[in-house]
This record gives sequence, structure tokens and C-alpha cells, in this order.
Amino acid sequence: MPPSFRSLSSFRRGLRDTFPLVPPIAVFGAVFGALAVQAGLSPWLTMLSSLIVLSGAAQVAMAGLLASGAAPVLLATTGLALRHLPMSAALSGLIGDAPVYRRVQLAWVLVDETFGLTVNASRDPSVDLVSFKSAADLVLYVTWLTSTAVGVFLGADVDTSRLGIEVIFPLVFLGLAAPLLRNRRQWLTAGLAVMAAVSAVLVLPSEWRVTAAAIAAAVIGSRVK
Amino acid sequence: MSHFILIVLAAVITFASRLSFMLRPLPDARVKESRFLEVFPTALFVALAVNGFVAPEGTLDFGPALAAGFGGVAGAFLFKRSILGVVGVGLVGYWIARLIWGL
Repeated sequence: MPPSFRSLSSFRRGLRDTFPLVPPIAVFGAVFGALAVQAGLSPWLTMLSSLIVLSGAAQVAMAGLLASGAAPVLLATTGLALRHLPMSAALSGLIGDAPVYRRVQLAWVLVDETFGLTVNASRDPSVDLVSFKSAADLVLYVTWLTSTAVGVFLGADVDTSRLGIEVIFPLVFLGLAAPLLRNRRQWLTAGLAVMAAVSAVLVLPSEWRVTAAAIAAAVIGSRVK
Repeated sequence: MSHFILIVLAAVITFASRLSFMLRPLPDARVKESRFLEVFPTALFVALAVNGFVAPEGTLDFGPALAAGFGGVAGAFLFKRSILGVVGVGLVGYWIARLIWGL
């Protein structure tokens, strides 16, 4: 297959594979926009955070912690950002010798959802992962910004407790994990992650739970023969 | 600290963590590191999911969100691991549980 055709076909596949994630991302973005405005963040700063932070979990934590001052916000952001380290190492290995500007571009939208889609797509050797992830990132970024703007516009009219938003993203993450469970090591790691995540709820502050549970499960799961 | 500076600092922390190994790839990852990177996505997504199912409000709560988790697992088996199947059946489980719980 010629490289340009492979890139185009992978870009299209990235658009297609990301489409099912648009509704949950749009709902979450709108809820964040509304929550941030209700928490006292101005509309333009809310949009700025979606534009340059681009991390649903960090932004929601920020909106919730604004009243507590800068330190808790930055601590929560750091705790949530730590999971990007192994993600960037894994993605870097997948995309091979892509040029620096492409690496910077792909890192800008290195979020859980498009990372999961890219890892799943990497099982097909015919996919150009740089084009695939660029398409996935584009869909996610546009959806996130648009839906944040909708949430900002609706502001206090959005009753977030009625939407069932708290389960949509966990279900998306479960849906991203499911195709990865192809061998004993992956199943074992998933089991360890379940135990670690439940234990983390009991002993750790909320911003460290996911990072600590994921790293602990991956360390143990990768060492078992 | 103004909200503007706080947002810029949060963006710098987040982007630096995303860019870290993208600019300096791990040189010839050894077997242990390769295995870690192979299983990390699974561990991350399962941890994110379980955290949302068992502690939707931050503290341990075995309620409708957990029912959504079981629904999602059923959806994965029923719809050959499709994301839409997982989300759809999970939401059905969630709303049925809410009805049963009287919420």
C-alpha cells in the first residue's frame, strides 16, 4: 500500500473509531463547562482550561478545588498527570521514528481515550498510528471545546446530578480495556487493577488513587511469569 | 494566585507529563520495561473504570454505579467487546439499579 494512501485510510479509520466516543465526551464537556461556571470560573477562563489543559479529570478537580486555593489544585493536577508518563513511553514506542513536531502534536492530546484507541489500533500492522491518532485527537479536541462552550452557555441550567454522568466515563474506560484482554498476563493485570483500585479508595486521597493503582497493578502484572 | 496563572500552571504540568517520553523515548526498553508498557494500558483503564464504579462520589459506595459496572462487563461479553455495547448495557444496568434503589 503506498504511504499516502495508508495515511489517509488510517486517518479515516481514526475518525470512524473515535465516533462512538463523541456522545460521552460531549456530555462530560458540557457538564464540566457548567460546573466550572457554577464554581465561579469565568466563561473565558473555562474555555481556556479546555483549550490548554485538555484533561477532563484535572479540569473537573480544578473546578471543585478552586475555593481551596492553588496548592490543592496543583497537587491534584500533578497526581492525575503522573499517569501520562508511562502512557507517553508506550505511545512513543508505538509510533517509531516520527519527527519531533509530530511527537509534540501527538503529546498535546495524549488523553486516556485516544491513547486507548491507538493501543487497540496498534494490533493491526496496516494502520499508520500517527495518522490514526491525529484523527482521533482532532475529533476529541473539537468535541471537548464545543461541548465545554455549550456547558458554559447553559451554566446554571444544567442539573448534573440527573445525567448519570458519573458512570459514562467509567464505562468508556471499561470499553477501552475490554479489547486488550487477549492473554493471561492481561487478565491477571486487570484482576490486580480491580483489587488495587478498590484498596486505593480505602487508603489514598482521590487524586492519587488511579495512578497508584494502575502503576502497582502493571508492576506486579508485568513481573509474574 | 489568580485563576489565569493557576490554569496556565496546570496546563504546563499536564503537557510536560504528556511530552516526557515522547521527546526522549526509552532506549531499547528491556524485557521488564516492555512488559510493563504492554500491560500498563490495561491496568490504567481498569483502575479508572473501577474507581468510578465503586466510588462515584469519592467514598466507597456499592450502589447503581457498581450495577453499571456489572452491566458493562455483560455488555463486553454480549457485544464482542464493542465500546458502544459496554456503554449501552452498562447504562441500562445503571438505570435499572436506580429504579430498584428508588433514586
